[in-house]
Amino acid sequence: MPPMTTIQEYAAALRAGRSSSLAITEASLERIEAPAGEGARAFTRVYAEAARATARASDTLRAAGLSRSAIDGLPISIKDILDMAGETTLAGSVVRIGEPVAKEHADVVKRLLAAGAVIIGRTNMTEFAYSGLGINPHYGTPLNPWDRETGRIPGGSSSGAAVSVSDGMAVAGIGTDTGGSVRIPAALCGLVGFKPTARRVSTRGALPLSANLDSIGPIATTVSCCACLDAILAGDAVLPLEPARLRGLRLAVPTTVVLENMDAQVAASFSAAMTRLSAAGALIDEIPLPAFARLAEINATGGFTAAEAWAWHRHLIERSGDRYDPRVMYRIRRGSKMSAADFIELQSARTLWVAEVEADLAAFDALLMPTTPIVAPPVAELVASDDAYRQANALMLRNPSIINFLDGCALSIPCHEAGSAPVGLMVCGPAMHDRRALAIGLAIESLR
Amino acid sequence: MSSVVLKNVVKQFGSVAAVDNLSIEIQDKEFAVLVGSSGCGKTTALRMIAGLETVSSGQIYIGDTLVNDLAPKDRDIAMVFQNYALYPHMNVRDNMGFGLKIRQLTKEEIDTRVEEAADILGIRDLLDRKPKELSGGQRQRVAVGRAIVRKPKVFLFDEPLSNLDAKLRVAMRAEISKLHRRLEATIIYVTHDQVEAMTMADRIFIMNKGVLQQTGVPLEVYAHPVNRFVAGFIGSPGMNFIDVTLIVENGVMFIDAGDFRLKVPQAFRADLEAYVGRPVVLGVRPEDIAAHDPATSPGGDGNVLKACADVVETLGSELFVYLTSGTHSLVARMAVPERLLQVGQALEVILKLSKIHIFDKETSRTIV
Repeated sequence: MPPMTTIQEYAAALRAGRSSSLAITEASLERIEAPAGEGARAFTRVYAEAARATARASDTLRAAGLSRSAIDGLPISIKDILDMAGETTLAGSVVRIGEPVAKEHADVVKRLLAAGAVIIGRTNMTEFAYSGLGINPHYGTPLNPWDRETGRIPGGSSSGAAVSVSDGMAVAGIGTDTGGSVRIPAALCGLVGFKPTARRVSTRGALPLSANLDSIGPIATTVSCCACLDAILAGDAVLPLEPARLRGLRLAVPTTVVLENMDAQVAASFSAAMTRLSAAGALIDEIPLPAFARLAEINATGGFTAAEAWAWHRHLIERSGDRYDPRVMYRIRRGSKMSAADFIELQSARTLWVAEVEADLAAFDALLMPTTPIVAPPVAELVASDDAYRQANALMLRNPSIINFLDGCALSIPCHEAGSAPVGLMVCGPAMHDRRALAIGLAIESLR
Repeated sequence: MSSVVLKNVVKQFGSVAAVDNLSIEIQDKEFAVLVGSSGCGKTTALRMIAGLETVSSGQIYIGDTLVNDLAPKDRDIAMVFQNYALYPHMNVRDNMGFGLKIRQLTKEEIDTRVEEAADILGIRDLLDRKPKELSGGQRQRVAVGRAIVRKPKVFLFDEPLSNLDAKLRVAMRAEISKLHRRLEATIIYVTHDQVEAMTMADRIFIMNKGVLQQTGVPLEVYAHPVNRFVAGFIGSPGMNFIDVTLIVENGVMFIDAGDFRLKVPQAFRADLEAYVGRPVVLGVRPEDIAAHDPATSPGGDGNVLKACADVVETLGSELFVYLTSGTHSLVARMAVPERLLQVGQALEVILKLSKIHIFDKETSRTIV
């Protein structure tokens, strides 16, 4: 694996004149194009010439003493779900080939460009973002950086975003997260992923999966990188992030649902992380959250995602359903059975549920859980069996999607020992506690 | 261990009082069951005791401490649920002690508490096993063990058996009762299942629409329900209710159901005098209806009615017989007769008049 470095280190190297944006961009392009690498599957499109031009412009501006942001001149990948003016947004599908092109960039793309980012390319994903595994039958599945010989899933849906970062093809990747699509690939690939409170980052120009649950967030190598990108995506001021004080921090580990079905690797990494945190003075309480147990029932009909995906896709499915990934279409079709009354009931159930969970969490600074209960399984096993695919998908989405339903924010941080299978520790908070979750995450990250 | 006292506790959700002026006193070491149907306020009451829900008004005491403003973790309570995941890579000992370890207790203290809890649960010989080497029931005990080692003053159970199959539920009822005796702990147990309430509780607290209806030891509540709601809620099959009028003819008081008349026992007359001519509701428990055989059972003193058996459910030791008498439907619980009843068969049944209940139709309150 190439050495991974942070936005802060790159920015310092640029400021000091030790590197140039063009050199960093060329190195990224070289890794993307390396025949033995995962570039061909991590990216659906590479903007090599535009990236070089942007990098040169950045170098010119820097030479004149101008820097637009901490990511000025750094290669950033964007998920194939985000609009670029003049292109059709495919979102990992083939069915949308030939559909009208986007008239303008997605809002987050505009913000990245205004900050001086070098948009290096569009990253592969689960078709229409509707699975947590990252398997794509049309464009191939980029392999997890861990155990490449076996060939394990990268996690999804922002699969290419994670691999673009783990393999040094981008300093950070922008993903979307409706039920864990940023945090799952971050956790499985040993990276940091941040899902902000949805309302903080405009989703205009992102092909929707579920308007009620969609959010846009970064995958990068460190919490600081994610905090910096999150501020840029949200249009906030980029302020340095101070770590929270661990001593006296009140942390809750829910014993309901989220600790079930852990494999030994996740259980060992997660419990060891709790032990380290406790030793550092954090006050950790295991608490039951009965509301978590009711979620499966509340979402039994497929929840917001199935209903809203069906609303968006039904005409396209009618015209060209045979060009969808059948495993994705199966999930979208579940939404066709929901009535308006079911949907309205779901909305009011969510309001009450959120109020209940927020009340339960009021006494704590953050909620901790494993991002996923299992480590990345081999791609081949899941491709071979619909049952294995569904079971693994349900397990991957189970914990992260709780936070989407909560309308909260969550950060996935690596908590495994170096050299072993990556495991993510999720630091979660209610809506608009994003900065707090990041500060706590930064403190936890330093304990490894 | 500790008593739990609620004084005039109210929980308001918008304009709805989910719990309305609830006052209860649960004794130290008592097994108290809050029972009622969905939406009756029992879970909200439990959540307020646990500190998971704020109190709109009123006071909650655990022991002598007013806990209204205490965080859940400072209340010395443990909520016990059936989904209590175990760490697969740790043995039972480490699983039970993990919550204490991350709360920075000493190893000695953790070992002592884990072993005490293991003795109470009878799982000392399992301490070195991994969760995958345990049966479902053993795993559940380890999960309870994780709560016991925290030495809470009060254990709260919120419908812990609702997801289990019928057979396991019966086994776990006995298990939890035994556990209560060994722990000598205060337990507050919430359920919608009146059978669980009747079989496990020292005292039951029956709630309906946010209001406490009745408190008492199970058999007392069964025999003397204070109103029609409690009468109908406790017991399975439920009590039979028939709209009737009280009339007096030639100095004799009768319960007039239209299709049949029953003679009011002398002992009830004084209480019923004021209701003569007014609509009331007759309540009869299924076991207080018996088949009438003129040859063997005495009757005829105004307590026999003609009926037809519509459905006969044979349970082995007893029968549930669904009867029609005129326009009224009744269910009776009878001993298995020598000659089995046929569906559609006409029969005479006898009501145990000393066991009947009469409710005020307007207020639903019990008159006798």
